Amino acid sequence: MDQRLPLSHVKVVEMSHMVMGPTVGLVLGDLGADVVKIEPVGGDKTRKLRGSGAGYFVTYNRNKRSLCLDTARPEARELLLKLIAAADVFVENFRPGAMDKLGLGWEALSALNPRLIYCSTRGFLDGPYQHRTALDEVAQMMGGLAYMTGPPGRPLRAGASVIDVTGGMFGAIGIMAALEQRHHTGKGGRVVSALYESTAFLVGQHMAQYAVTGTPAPPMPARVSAWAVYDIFDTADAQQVFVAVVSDTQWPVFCREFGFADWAEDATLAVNSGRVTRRDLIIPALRESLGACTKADLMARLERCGLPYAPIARPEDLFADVHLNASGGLLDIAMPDGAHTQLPALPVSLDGQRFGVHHPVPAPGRDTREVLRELGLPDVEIDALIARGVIA
Amino acid sequence: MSHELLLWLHVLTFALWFGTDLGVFTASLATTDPKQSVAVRQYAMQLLMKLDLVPRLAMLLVVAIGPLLAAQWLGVAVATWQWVGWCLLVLAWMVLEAKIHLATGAPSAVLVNLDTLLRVVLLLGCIVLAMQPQVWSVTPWLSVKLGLLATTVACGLGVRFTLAPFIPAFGQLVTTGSTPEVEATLQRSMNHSRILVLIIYACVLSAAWLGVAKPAWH
Repeated sequence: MDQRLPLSHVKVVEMSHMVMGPTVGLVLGDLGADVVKIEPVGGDKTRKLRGSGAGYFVTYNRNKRSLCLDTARPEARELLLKLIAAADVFVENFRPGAMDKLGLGWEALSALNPRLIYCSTRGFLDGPYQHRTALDEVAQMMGGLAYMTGPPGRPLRAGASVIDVTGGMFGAIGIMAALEQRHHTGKGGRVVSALYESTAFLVGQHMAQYAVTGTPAPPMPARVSAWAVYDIFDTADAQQVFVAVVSDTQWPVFCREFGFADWAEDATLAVNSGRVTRRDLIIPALRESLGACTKADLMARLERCGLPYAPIARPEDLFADVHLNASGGLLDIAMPDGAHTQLPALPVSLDGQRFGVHHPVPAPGRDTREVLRELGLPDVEIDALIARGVIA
Repeated sequence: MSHELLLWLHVLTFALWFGTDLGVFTASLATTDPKQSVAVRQYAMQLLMKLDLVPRLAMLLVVAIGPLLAAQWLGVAVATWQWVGWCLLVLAWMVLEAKIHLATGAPSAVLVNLDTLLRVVLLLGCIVLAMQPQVWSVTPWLSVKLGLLATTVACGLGVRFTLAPFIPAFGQLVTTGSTPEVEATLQRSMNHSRILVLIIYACVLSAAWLGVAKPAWH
């Protein structure tokens, strides 16, 4: 890949917290944009989250510079406006109206910088729900995703912040579209992405299923499988492996490998639709046969046949994953406390290259001086602002 | 204005000056304490900066009221236009002081230089006045008080000089973290200032005692 990253000419000011807004900045930053993250003096509260939120900040804030400002102070807002006046993109994820109160709403900033692309990440796009407060989980519940994920009667959120991340990705896609549009119009624009609409977009496949079949889609654990073999099997060493046989050419290969040559010759099982009706015969027999194998043996045989399979991994297993480690899929991340870890790279390659880390996860205000110097502030001014607590 | 009212205001402004300056001094101890987190030191610095305006203005109130009180004590007639003019002059100085203190970022060098010039004039004025025979011979305690005020002003100017490296070093502390060099600069600058501050406190307390006791030693 060219040393110059694709978005290295794009200046982004990000004023967001938690997951969705920072994801927008992460995507743009990984692609090379100069992302300045605005944090309150003392740092973004996301840094201090515990439990399931403990990894949020480290995950979504690499490749950004940190500028700490007390936006309640007019002097700080003046600096922020100066920064935004020279930026291409502004990203925020505060509740509707909050940015207007700070004088940082779309109308004010587009008047200040007509080329600015203003991205808001919200719970809902414009409509009857637009003033509601939403979270990833709220969107999953009301968007049908939790219903589809858990067993019947037990709605369950997905095992990662899929809606926050998806919403953030759509925000980044919208920004890139607006950047392209700006090449033609010379004007910026307003991008809004939302949790609820992102959920609806994902669940659209089940809505379509209903439209096509006339039957509501049942939750995933109770679904009628589209394929005869698409299941998790217990192994002899108390592990689990997911196995899929989804094409008519895979079927005889699979049968011969695992000692079901008669099924391979059976014309009623030759096509997928025939096999699906015989799952009651196929699956118990496979459970017995595959259950006699160890996990390693089963995976080796499936690998040899070229069939889709997967161990049931946990997130921490990925640190040692051979493929991710060999392909640049894990990035070395220096955390603000000095410790190092490995985290997934942006899941895309360009000309065979993955996007890496050009700015480690920042400590609060790590780049305050550098960013303000670039704005033309002399050190004496910066030091005075620090002493007054306007910046940090 | 009655003598009692002026005296009361004089004592009040002294208390305001000394009390709030002790607050500034206490906060300054935390800003240079390496055992505290940067966040705590930063908060102490903000507290210090916010509070520091009060003793600055209180000192000017002392400057406004003191001469009027002294004139009454010495029996010197002061016309209304004179004391009103004097008070307006000091008020303008207070506005200047507030403008410097509340400036966005670094204050204007012109305003800072003007303030320094006014302080030098005040310092010299105090010395000249203290050496006047009619002051020295009639109220020697007042001459000493004026001398102490001159010393206080001189020490205040000295604090500005010794604290010059402090703000940039504190900026480094916040943006790049604690290093032995930064800590040494902060400590050195603050230690030098503290000596001057303690001299100021000694002068202010002595002046207060002289104002109350008014000893006659001729």
